[in-house]
Amino acid sequence: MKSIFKYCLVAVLSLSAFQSCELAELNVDPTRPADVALNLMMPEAITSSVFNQYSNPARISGLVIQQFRGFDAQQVAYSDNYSIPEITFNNYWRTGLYAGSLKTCQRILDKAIEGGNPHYQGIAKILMADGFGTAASYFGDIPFSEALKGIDDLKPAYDTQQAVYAGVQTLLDEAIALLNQPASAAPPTNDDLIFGGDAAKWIATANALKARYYMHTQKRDAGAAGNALTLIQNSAFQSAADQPNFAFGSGQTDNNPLAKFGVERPNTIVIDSRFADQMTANADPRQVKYMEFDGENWLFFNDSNTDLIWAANASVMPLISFVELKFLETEALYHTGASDSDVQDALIAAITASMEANGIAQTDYQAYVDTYGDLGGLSSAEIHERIMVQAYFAYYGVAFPQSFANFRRTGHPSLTPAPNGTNGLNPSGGVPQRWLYAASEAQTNSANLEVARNNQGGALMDVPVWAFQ
Amino acid sequence: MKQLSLIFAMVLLVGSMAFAQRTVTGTVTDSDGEPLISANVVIKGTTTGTLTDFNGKYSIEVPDGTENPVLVVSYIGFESQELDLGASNVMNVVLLEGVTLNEAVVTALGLESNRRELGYSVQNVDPNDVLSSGETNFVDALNSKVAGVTVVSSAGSPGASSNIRVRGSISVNGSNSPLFVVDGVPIDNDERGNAVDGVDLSNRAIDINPNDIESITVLKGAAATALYGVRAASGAVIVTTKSGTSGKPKVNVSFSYGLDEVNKLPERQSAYAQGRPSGGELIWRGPNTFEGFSWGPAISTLEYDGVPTVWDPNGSLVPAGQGNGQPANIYDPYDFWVTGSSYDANISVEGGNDRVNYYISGGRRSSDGIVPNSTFQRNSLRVNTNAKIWDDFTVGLSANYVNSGGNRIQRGSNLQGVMLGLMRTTPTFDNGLGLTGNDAANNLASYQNEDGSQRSYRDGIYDNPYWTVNKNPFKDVVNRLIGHASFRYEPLDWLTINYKLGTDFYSDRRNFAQDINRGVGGNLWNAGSVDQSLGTNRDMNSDFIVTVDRQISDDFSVTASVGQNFFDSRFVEQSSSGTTLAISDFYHISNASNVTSDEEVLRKRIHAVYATVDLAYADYIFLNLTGRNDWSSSLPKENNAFQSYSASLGFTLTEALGVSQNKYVPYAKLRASYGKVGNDAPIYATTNYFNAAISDGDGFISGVEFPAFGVNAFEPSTILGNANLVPESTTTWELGAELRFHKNRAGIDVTYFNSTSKDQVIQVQLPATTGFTDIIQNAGQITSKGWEISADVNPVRIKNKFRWDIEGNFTKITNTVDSLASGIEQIALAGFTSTSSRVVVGQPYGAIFGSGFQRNENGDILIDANGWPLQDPNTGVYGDPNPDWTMGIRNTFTLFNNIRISALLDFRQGGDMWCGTCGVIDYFGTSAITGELREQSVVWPGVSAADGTPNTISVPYADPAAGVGGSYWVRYGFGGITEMSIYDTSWIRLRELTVSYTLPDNIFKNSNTFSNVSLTFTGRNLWLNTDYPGIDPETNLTGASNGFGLDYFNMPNAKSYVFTLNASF
Repeated sequence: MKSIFKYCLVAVLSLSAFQSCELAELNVDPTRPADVALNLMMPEAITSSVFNQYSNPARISGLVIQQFRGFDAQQVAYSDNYSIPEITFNNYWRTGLYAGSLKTCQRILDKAIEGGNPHYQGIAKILMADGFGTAASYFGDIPFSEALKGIDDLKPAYDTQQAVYAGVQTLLDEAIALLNQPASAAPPTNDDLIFGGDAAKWIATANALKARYYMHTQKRDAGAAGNALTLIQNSAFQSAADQPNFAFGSGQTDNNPLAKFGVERPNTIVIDSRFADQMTANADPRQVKYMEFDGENWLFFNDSNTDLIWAANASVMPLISFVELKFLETEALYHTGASDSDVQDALIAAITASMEANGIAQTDYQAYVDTYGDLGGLSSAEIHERIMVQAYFAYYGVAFPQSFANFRRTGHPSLTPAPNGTNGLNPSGGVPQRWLYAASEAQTNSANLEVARNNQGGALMDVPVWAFQ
Repeated sequence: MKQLSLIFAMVLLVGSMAFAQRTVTGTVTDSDGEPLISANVVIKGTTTGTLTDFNGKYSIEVPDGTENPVLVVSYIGFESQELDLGASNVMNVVLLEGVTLNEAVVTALGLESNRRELGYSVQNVDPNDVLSSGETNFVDALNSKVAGVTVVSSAGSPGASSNIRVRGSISVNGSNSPLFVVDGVPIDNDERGNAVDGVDLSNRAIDINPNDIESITVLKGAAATALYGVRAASGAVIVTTKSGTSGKPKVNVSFSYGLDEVNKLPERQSAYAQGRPSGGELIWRGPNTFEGFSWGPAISTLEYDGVPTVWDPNGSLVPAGQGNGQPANIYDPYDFWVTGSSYDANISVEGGNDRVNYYISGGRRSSDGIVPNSTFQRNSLRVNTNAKIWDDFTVGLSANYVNSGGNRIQRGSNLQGVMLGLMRTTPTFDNGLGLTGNDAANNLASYQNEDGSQRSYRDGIYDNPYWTVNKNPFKDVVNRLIGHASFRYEPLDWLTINYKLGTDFYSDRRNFAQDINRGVGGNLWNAGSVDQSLGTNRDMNSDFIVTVDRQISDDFSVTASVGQNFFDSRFVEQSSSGTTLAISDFYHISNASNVTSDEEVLRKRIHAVYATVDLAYADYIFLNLTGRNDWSSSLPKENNAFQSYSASLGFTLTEALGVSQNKYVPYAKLRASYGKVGNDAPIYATTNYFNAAISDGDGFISGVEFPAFGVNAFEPSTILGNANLVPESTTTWELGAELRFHKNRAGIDVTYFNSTSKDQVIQVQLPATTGFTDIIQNAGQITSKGWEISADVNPVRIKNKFRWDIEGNFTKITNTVDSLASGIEQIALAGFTSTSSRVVVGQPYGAIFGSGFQRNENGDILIDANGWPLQDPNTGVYGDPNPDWTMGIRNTFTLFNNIRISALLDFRQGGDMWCGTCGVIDYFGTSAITGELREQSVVWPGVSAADGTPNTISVPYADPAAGVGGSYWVRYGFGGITEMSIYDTSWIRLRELTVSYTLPDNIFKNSNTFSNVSLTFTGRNLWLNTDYPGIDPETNLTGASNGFGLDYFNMPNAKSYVFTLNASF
């Protein structure tokens, strides 16, 4: 009896011990899908693209062009010491841009090509073009033609800034062609958080972006201003109502990046008093929409002040604004030899568009427009400066990266560099002319990075990018 | 207490079943005739045993039916003896000194071995030393006691995790923590949730009650652990708990009470007020301005205006002469710290007869920390029993129930962190509002204004420490059951079949809340939050082992085992996070407006077969061969099998030459071993997934999380899966020698080892321009080599009057990252984007990486035209957190056999730490150095960047005219440059001082109640000598993670005084 028990026990255990088992099944994560439909990818692609236009590099643009001022922590070093080390843009470069918005766009593109969805392809290409174009303006040469290939190219080489700007135009042309095709089954609808799937509006947006990036290359390409002008006047959207707006939410997890910064990094950035003083001196009616005075400092954020529209939680932020388009038009007219009165009309329209975007009543802004829209008696150089300086005031909140690009390519407005701004990263001490490459590139793609740096004179912050030289 | 009485009743019942037929008595002495006290006397093959008394006398009952009884007599430091009893009922025994040569050790898979037969290095830890250290976490108690083992407690918080490494770190992404095995069952020692922010959580080995431990053996190299395969790639800590010795029920009761104090804090300035320079003048800026800096005017130049504010009843500060004449007060924020206390109560009963033995214990430990409201409790109940059902068939059962957890306090890089708010607090602000410590923590007005807003020095940007200990509770509760059922069947006298099924099951419930008005700056998102989670872990482990043990000839014996192992682990965590609380002081998810929930499922299974063979020749040549094959679920199906194997040889020179009786070198043994241990991959790494979408990439702000804007979204994971992973492997060779000298009064054991880890499965950073941030791949090689020396000497010995013993452990480990993936020079292990602990090719493991000053070829710092050192545009390695060597030395003095004084000194030479705390308090101007130097000037050593000539420009450290950004500590950005905050951590500390007194036995001669009563005092960390400017440098921000050498507002450590009363009856 006891022997039988023992033998049985041993036998049963021996059998159970060598049972076969499907180990591989256990290595599948039950909490994550392996694939999802296009309409589940598009919301993040759009949101990330807009987020990138208003997050860290946009704020630091604002600090460097002296609309913002660091008040505490790292922000002080950015604005007062130009100590903007390589690690500053790691997050933007990695999880914001390339392995953020761009990788999702690439996945949408791949899946939409496979499934024959031209409108998804078109929107993805527009978002990619904008992402690459902005990054090229910050950094100069960047990986473009070899980027986003995953396992097939683990060390993407850098394309020249010139090649990237050309590629951006090609992407936008392709997008326009795709969006002109009839919609396939299951086209973008409410997952398109900007236009709800309206292909015509996306085409107008693509043309607007083409104009912006043509103007980026204006110093290098004699035909750029003309191309931009044609697009703005014929193909881009013609009113603020048709601009690609993105409405952020009012909650902690879906609010506007500038409001997030106000909430999550309180009192580390304030408005640069020089910017505030200029607006006060100009009696600019937009000042109350940009800032408030707390008795000591000008603040860009105060959650209870509903006038501060660009730093509100639920701000509506455009991918590219009608205001910018009008200023691009003015500048393009100027460069294509239009008459002063045509330029003046365009400038007045641009300033007016900005006033209206800020919700200022005509009675409150007419005096300002009359003063600063009047180009009478100005030299050609002064006219150019006037356009760019007015763009500087108009772009606050809505287009810091474009203000930074304008300053670098035109020198306007003229800024006094921070007195303690000389450091190893910015040896000549001037206002930075570019961002340093993200530290992660030095750690993961150093050979290609070295080539890119050598092609651009070392690419420290005081070396202008190719297009803006 | 009811439960305990019940246990007693049960125990007494079992105990009374023991009966005996024959009693043997005698005396145990040494060769000089001196009685040996507490020598072990057992009847061989039974569980019947006793100890000798104060006069060396014993009395033992031989169980009924024992054939040819054999008496085994052993005593620590002496050779054991086996004596045939025959018919004699009196047996006097003389033991010869033989030290630890025959020390029993538990090797892999719970196989028992004799230390003298091993060809690889293992080391036992005296469980009494663990117990007398009075540590909550028995891992901490191993500190400085084992050569080759380093232990770093992450903080002095109650229940904080402890980070243990056997022979340093060698794996980049895998665990570098040894496997913990309790009674043959691998237990979970996970440490979930320790990050740069949050609270100090526990490592789960803290659940083991040190009072239950019978023995601890540390297995170090691959040869020792190959039989465990993948799970012991970083060594193993083998714990055996008490199982009960036969005889009358023996009850042991102990109670200890301890006091803790903070042992080291950074020095602060107390001369300058809150504020900053403006227009060249130093301006006081009060809490209402949210001012963070203490770069204001000298406090001696300020007085109050007499108009009370919510921040200060004395009013605001104004220049002397402009106020009410009352000089500004200077406050010391360090009056926040309190004296912590803890108690540990344990009761156990053990006993048995020739068929059944048992050990039953219950323990409760409760600690209140040096931070008000910080607590940790552990309640533990254990039952171990063995029953011999038939003569050849024994069944074992063990169950250990543990309930542990506490209230954890926020620390680290965290606006809610205690140290962050405390260290930045300006000297002119009184955190406690006239009260200190627990009084302030219990006084609402100290930290909350009447309107419900928070009272703090920056008006709610950082939490007032008194606010955070009340308003940001983090409570965890673990309920855990570790147990096993086993049988042992010996059908033939040379054949044994063992089976053991073990389980480690626990639930871990966490509830974390941040109340309304937490520190973020007085706006929308201080609406509070609640995070609740319930994690459940279930590990199953089964071992089936068949062992053959044969004496082939007089000289030659073979022991061989084959076995099968099955291991299955499943962890499921469900969590809910809610924001925007409706009411204050109510920390439940139902109080939140926006709630999101999540689930995590981690699962893994391993099958394995293994075999081991021990060959012994003539008692002086010992060869051990092992092999194991694992199949792991985490590897791709085609490559999921991997092998571990080892060979080790022990050769006892003195036996072979027949000179073991010589007086000078009675024992000399050489060891050599080689082993390879395989390791698998992280789970779910072989394919690509989509994750819940987040739009982020800022670094300063949170992202947009989906679902949002009325739609849901997913995004491709940025980690590229890899279906071509192969197992990684670590090979170790090891040489060792063990020598005993001068009648065994001294000895030394030296080991040299060299481990190489290849094909590591590493999460490697990719250029993000590929569309992915990381890939998991086989890459890299890390080498670790080093010396481990343990030595002991007994310089003075006066029989039964005085004895002085010295024991020492010395460890020197050098590890080098030979290569990583192609084109990858470094991988971050832990830390921040600015400063982190990394693996960098050509550098030691864990190197501190960050920013530094720019230098020329000669290493001179380059100075700019204004006289300031230039920052290097490139980042690099600026510190090595690995010590050059460590050493523990214990001196023990024994007087009259019943007074024991023992001091454990801990030496650490070298090893850098990034004192992020220092960099930030320098930046804010609250550190002592900024108080001393801010009105002085300096000529920075270095050369002009322009022309290379030595720098001669004198610059003021902090010129008010240059604004706050012109000061040395501010100009390089928040927290400064990494290099500015790297400090050496070399230390000497009195880690433990123990004084114990055992009451003489004759006191209880006429008492049947007590047989042994002792009193012990233990002091921990009573003395620390180090140049490190921060807190006690035995600290680590990210707990048991692979990164180390980071101190960023870590909780400080404690020194402790513990009194213990122990009684047996």
